[in-house]
Amino acid sequence: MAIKMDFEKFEDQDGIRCSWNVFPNKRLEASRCVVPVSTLYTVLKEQSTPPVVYDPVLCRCNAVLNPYCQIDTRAKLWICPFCLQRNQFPPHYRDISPNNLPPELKADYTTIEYILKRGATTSPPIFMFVVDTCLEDEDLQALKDALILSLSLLPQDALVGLITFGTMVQVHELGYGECPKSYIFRGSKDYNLEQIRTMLGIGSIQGMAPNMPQRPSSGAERFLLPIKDCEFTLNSILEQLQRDPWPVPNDKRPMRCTGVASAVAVGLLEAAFPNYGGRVMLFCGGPATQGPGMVVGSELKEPIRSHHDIERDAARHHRKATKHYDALAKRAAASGHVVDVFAGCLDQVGLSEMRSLITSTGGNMVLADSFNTAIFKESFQRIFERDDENFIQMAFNATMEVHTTKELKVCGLIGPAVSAEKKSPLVSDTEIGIGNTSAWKFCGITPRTTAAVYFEVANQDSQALQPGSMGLIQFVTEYQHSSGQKRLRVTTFARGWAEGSSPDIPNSFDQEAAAVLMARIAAFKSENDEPADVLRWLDRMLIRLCQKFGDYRQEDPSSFRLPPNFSIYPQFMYHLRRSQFLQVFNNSPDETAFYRQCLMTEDTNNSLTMIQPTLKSFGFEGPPVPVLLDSISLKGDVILLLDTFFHILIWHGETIAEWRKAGYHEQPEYENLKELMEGPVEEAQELLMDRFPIPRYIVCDKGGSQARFLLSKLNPSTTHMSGQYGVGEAILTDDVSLQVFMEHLKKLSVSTP
Amino acid sequence: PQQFVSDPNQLATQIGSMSLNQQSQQIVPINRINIADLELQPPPILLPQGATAVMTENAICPPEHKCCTLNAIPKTDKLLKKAKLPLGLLITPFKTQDEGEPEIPVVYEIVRCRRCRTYMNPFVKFVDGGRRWQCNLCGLVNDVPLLFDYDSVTQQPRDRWSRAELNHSVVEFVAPAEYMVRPPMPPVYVFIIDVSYPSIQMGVPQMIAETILETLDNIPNKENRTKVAFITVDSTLNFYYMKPDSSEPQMLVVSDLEDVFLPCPNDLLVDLTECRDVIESLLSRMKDMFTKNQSVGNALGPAIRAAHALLGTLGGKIIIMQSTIPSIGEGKLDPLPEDSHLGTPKESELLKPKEQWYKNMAAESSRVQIAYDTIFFGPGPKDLPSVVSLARYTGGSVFYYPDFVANRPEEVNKFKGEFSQLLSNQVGLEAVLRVRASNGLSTKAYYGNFFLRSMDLLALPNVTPNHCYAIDLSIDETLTAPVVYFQTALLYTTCYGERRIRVSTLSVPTTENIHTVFQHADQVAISALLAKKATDRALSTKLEDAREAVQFKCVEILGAFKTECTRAQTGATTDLQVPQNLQLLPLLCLSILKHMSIRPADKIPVSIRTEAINFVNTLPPDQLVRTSMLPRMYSLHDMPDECGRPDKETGIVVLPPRLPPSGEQLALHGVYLLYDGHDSYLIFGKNVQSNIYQALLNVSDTQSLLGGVISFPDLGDSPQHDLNKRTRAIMQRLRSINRNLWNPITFVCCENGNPVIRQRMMQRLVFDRDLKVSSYHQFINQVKDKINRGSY
Ligand SMILES: [Zn+2]
Ligand SMILES: [Zn+2]
Repeated sequence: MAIKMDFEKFEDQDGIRCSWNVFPNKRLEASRCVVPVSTLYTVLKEQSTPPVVYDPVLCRCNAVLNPYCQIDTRAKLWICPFCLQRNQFPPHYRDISPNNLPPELKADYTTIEYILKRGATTSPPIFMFVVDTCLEDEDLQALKDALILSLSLLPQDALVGLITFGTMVQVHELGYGECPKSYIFRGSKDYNLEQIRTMLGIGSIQGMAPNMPQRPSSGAERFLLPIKDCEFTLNSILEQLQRDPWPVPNDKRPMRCTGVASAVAVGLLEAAFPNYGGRVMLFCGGPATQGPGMVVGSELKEPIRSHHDIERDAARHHRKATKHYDALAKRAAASGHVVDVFAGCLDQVGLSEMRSLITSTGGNMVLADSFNTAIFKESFQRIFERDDENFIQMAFNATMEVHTTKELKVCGLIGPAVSAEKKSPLVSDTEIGIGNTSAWKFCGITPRTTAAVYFEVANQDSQALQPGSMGLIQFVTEYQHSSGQKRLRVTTFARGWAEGSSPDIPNSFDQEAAAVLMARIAAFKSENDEPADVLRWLDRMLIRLCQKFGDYRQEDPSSFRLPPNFSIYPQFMYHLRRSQFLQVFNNSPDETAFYRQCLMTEDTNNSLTMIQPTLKSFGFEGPPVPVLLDSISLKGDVILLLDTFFHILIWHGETIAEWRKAGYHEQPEYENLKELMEGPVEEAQELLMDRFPIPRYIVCDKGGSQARFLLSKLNPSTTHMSGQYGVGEAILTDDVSLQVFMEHLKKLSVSTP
Repeated sequence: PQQFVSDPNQLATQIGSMSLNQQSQQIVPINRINIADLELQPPPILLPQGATAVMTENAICPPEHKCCTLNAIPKTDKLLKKAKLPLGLLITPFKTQDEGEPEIPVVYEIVRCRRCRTYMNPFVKFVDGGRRWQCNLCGLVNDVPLLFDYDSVTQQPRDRWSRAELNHSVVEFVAPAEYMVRPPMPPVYVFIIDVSYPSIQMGVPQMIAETILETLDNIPNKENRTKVAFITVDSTLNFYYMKPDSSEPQMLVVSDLEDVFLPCPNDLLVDLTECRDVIESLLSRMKDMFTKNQSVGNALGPAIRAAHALLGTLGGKIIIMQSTIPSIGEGKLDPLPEDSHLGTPKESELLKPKEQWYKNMAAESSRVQIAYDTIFFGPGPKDLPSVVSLARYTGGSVFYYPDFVANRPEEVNKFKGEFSQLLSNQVGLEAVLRVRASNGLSTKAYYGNFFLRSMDLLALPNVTPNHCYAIDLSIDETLTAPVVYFQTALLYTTCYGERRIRVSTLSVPTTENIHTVFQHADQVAISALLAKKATDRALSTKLEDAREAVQFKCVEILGAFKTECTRAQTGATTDLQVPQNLQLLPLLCLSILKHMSIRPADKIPVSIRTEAINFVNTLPPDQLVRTSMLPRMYSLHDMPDECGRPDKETGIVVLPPRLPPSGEQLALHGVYLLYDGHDSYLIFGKNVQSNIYQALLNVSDTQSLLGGVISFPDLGDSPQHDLNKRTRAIMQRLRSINRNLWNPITFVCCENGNPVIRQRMMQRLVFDRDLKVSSYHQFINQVKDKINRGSY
């Protein structure tokens, strides 16, 4: 019978969550399973086993020796499970025996981390701050304070640089001792790499006098210095940093050249430190209004583009700006550099256009109303958090390669990465996400970064698999650790094969992982396809899944049942359909870019929260309980705590709100009210604790304007349309409720195809 | 009133004599000359009775302000042609007052002729019982305005005959608002400093910064309105952002030179007073700022473009300090291999600007009241001829320090002295110079540094003190009047924000008599004009043409005199005769030929010549002729006791008698000073006694002097160093005579001394023969031969 699989145990050990934990053994069977064989992989998930300090043993196919390899300790041989090649153990493995195995062959080392000796560079990470100065004084001050604080959070050997921008771009030469010195670039001009290189005097010895006493070095050391060598200079520049000096007429936006500033920053790192880990941290206080990358004109009467404008192709600057940033993103990714964007603005800053800069490079995106907000300040600080060994929790310039046994082929990856353009026989013709490759580049990667990798069962129906054989997948990720070390993370996992009809397959279904994996596909598709098409695709897939795995009598909706481990999947899909990822018109293009970026990066649990927020009810009748994300949960005498990942919201029912307004909770005899009110606050604090970016924290009452954030997430089981009264609260919406959705689903699932 | 007639005797000699012909000058042979005559005043301007409204000697225009080559002008062009003498004006419209000279009187009410706009001057005629006045230039009768007899300052009626404009040929009117198109501009200085590798190696930026720092208090800034900006240039432009409340400047580098822009909208051009601290901070840092700079390029053109943007419509002076050739961006120049062309006919081509960008830029600048001074350092290629166009067309100055290296104190001292003088100059701003002449006379050509806006209007964004402008005049119709007039008006803004008009009126009698013409010819003015025309010709055609023209003119003039004014009208003469007032003309012509600007030689770098040409072009006659072309030579060891000491009456240091600059004059036991303004030489005879060395330089012999370059020491007041003290006083006086333009290096010539220095010194002995040019005696023999053969 059904084995209850402990998906979370796999996740803990290897950072792996699979849609199917038993693979259908035939191509056709697999495709009938609707949800592809796929996995969510949290690449740098914290490990219980310590890293080993030696180089891995590799097969000719580049796969790494692992616990699933057959070994012959006597012949000193091992067989690569991926290519079936026999390999001799290297000479220093000569003492190998069943009782004396190296860690990588031990069962608890399915994930192992090597600190590499070969090609090891000890290069500290590089941080290039790119700071908008078209800010209100208060905002600028907050940003300056945050930056100054960050200097103390960075590793002291990290290289730092500073670019400020407004009407023009200012590259600060931190290594110049005589006075503050900076290079100025026009904000309206499209500078290519060669121009940037020449104008900054980097990496080129042209224009230098011959017979110079010492040959000039690359020149970049003038701009990027170890923090310990330039902290004073940098601090004083930051302290004296002033608002962009160019006058701004009342009817105009400030001239802001975000596009040129990012080009200069990317170009500087590209010229000076290609393939060394580094990040451009871009702080935008508003939209680019000039030069390449401008998203709106400087006239205030010209509004910034909306989804409608983009859809109607009426956003004048959208395509051009996107093209500019796409090209930059490509270059940054190619040289292994991350771009983070921190927006501190009530309005949009053009994240929609800049999106690829972040998604292609694994950067962070933080969206705050201003730099003087906790969302910005705390999110920014959180980036520099340290691990147990006191290293900042970020890794750079990673390349992840996948190896599979021959029955599997790789369709693609969806996540904050770009293709590393590695062609190999295991690449499938079917492309999901970033395909046509078996390796990807992650310029920036954190312990949370989670990639979705999609596979295809290649096994033709005629080929029988040996009983007990396993499908094997190995992820080999080489990256630059924040200590500067080169490291290699290897995760190898195996899943059994089963006939298409076997109950093992549905039993192995991880509906949470599947929902996230499908959500990523949907979001990925949305970047290019019409929203309606994506919704239709999602519906089709859901119906097919229900048809395949549901238990029902044809044409009898009331007979329809789903196995327990499929049971919430339709609900996930229902909420996904309604979510900001697919329903964009209530959000700005920037917000959409932000939401999707988070979905593309976070792990399974966080992603699920984004898809289907959690709701907890705090009442007098007992301990707090999770309640349905439904309008029936809106009761007068409770406090609700909603977590949408992006928002954490405390909602006071009518009665509670009245009591609070009357000040009862301050009276000793209503101690229990006080306790009730404190409960959700404490829990919210806990949630805020390890979330990135910091969610928007909202406390509201029934009927308050902020309550809309809650209402929009709730299943409108009681709407102004349904005319029901009684429990819960009616929600003003035209959306169908979950119940209606489910009825439709059942009807469609049981109908004859 | 106190400026009224003070010396009736002198007055009588100048005014009131109609009998010009009787006032015969002595006729003398040209082979016996008296060099001391060089210091004499030009022949007097003899005006008829009643030529002035008020009897006053001050009606005669001082020749230092303005003079005519002829103090008696032929009435007809025919007569002028016969005399062969050049007719021209030499104007120094913004002359500084010399030691002992009173200030120029200031007038607050402006009265001008309705028709020709001539300003009220000492030569107008009052008619109708003083109610009307007749313009002395056009003859129109104008009403006398009521204010004329009223003192607007004291608000009292006043005696019109005491009015300064009726008593002085040179006055300054305070211009009312009608004379302004905008509020008077403040003094503005933008320094463009070459900080490329070669410049740093020579230590140039450091010395510039040091000098500016030391001179800050002397930069005109009376009203605290003066603004400054600094741009340092290599292959990039560096701007300096200076905020009043900040203690350190920020350097902003612009390396995008395709289309230059300003890196920020303000605080680059800053208030000298308000930003004094941060300016000082910048200047004190500058010596260390570029020590690691390895850039060899120079983007002068883009820097100029940026400076333009910085000045906007404000205007101002851009001081260019260049050690290398501009090699990047607009105005980029290619170094020329000049060595092989020097001394050949191709040399003339090198002297002409190859790149018109600088001239065009200057014209553009002139329109927005931007002027340039160009200062060059070091021996490397720079293409001065192209770059100096900036100064040439905007009224600016040119200086060149070919041997500058920061560790040579003599060079540094010279530069510092001259540069700080330049910065301290009370320049005139946003100026125009208009020249008016009596009917029948017209201006043909101008020489000097300016931009000609119309035929009688010179645009001078800056008017540099003591710069001279020469004008060729032509007689278009017979001059019927007994006296003709030239009125010059310089409208300018003072450094302290006042709009003023400096007006000078020169009156010159006319004559039909060729003797009179010759006897009133001013040899100093004539040779100054000839020198200026020669350099102009050198630049427009060829050096050879320029030299030939000078020599030919000399022959022509002497020939004409012989033909028209002596009994030996035809046929050979053994001794050429000249009126005493033209006695030195042949020597002065020879000096022109021997001047660095056009002398034949095959080793004079183009840059040196260009600087010399600029000096000829801008120096007033007294400085050019009396010092620069014909160096001053003084014997020091045996000078009379009063020399080198202040005159008891005037307090002005007495100079020793001038010697003709000739090797013959140098006694073996003697010490001599040879001074041409730019350089000075101490020449020691072979047998100079050691006590003289002691007294002069506090050394026992020449051993320590063999290097050839010294800073003339200040040995204090002690009696045993009296010679030192007197020589210092003489040198100081000479600087003052030359209006402190130069701070000469002292070169020492002595036995076993530096042969290069000796050779240079010898070239300045204009009497003597050198490799390519004749001695004086050879020269006059050639002249005589040509005249005798009638072959001129
Ligand atoms: Zn293999
Ligand atoms: Zn008139």
